[in-house]
Amino acid sequence: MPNPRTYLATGIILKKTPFAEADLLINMFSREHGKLRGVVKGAQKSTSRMVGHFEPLTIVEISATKGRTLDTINQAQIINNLSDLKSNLSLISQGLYVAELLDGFGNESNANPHLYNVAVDTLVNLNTNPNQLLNLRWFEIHLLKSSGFGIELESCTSCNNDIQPDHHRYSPSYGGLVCLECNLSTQYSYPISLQALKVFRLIDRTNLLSLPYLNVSNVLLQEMKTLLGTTVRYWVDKEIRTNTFMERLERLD
Amino acid sequence: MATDPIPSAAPALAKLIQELNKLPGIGPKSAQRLAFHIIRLPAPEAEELSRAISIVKTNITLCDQCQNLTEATPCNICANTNRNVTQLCVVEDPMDVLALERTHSYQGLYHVLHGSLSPLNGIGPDQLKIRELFQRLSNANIEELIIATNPTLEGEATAMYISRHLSGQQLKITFLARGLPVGGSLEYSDDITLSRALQGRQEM
Repeated sequence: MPNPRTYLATGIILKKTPFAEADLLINMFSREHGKLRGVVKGAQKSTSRMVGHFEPLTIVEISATKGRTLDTINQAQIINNLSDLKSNLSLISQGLYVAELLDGFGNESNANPHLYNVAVDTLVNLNTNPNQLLNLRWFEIHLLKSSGFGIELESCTSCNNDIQPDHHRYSPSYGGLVCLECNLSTQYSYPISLQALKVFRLIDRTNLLSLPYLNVSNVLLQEMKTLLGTTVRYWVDKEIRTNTFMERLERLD
Repeated sequence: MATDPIPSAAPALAKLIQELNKLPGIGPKSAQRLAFHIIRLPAPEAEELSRAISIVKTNITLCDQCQNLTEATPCNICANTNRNVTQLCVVEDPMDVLALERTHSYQGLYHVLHGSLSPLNGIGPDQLKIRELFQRLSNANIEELIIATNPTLEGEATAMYISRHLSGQQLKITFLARGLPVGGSLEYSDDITLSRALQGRQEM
């Protein structure tokens, strides 16, 4: 008879922290159980057979036992190590941005398989297709959608009327576009260009693997990054730490 | 909110337990055991322990060259004229210096970063001794920089950041080999370690 205290899960390692003498505390985002925390006994020792399985940004399958406060991870198998991503500093920082947002938007013990798939698609695409400039923008839009904060890109979030070209602003707190008639204070809304809106709509309805390589200017990329970054920060309600590091790397390039 | 370790304990004892509990790897039970052990110690031994803690806090400083913990700057390693001053090994923590010194296989100098890049925890280059490393490299005649950060995502990111910063300079940059631990077993090795071991194989 199967032991009900033991369970299997597939997930992305978000973070590992040294715990007790030689153990590791693992934070992961799993398809089956949402955010999970578990201890891996002796995993800090170099001879541990589990030592390489729990690096952040690794997709693993685990077998764990429920505990009173923390679960114990007994076995692990790497599904995708994302090794190309981990050999490029800029991609590592982008992967960690995905991990930080997953940690912020995911719920403990509350499965969100759609969000899990969005995160896996993004990480795998960063690993195999790093030239796609819109990887992170696709992730942000679909992360918000999977978490119940999808951005309204067709009609005004205030009056519900259809948006007319160049007659709109963008409001993170209202959850999308606002028409000029609604006259939302500039404190709560930002200008958004027609090109940015078109790219947002394309990303919103497209699978990441089918997303075309768009010849997007740096100005447009920056506009989209700022608007989506503001929206993500608004909903997660804290500063995104990996952003600072990504900006630092961009300056270094 | 922190709970009172032993509600009925004397305030001095409760305070000691509370302070010991703050040490890494010391839970409330261990803190109580240590506190009672200290109480049972002869007075001179307890005072010796207290003095040792106090001296460490007042005398230990960072070597202005390698950033390792030391009582005098430059530290013993930096001041040793028999060391190879053309090799510089970059490590994350002072404990890594001790581990490498135990091998007796390295005779060069060290530079301690005091951590590794961890963007998720808000630790960037400014929180580490990376600027000091670059300053040191521009002033000293270092020919080889051995990056000995841990083989973790953070350690690798730190190594990549340093090597990216130094790209284009006349400096040999090397990394410690990655692979199988002595006493380990192929069967239980993970895919990444095995593939790194294969990449770094050597002719016999």
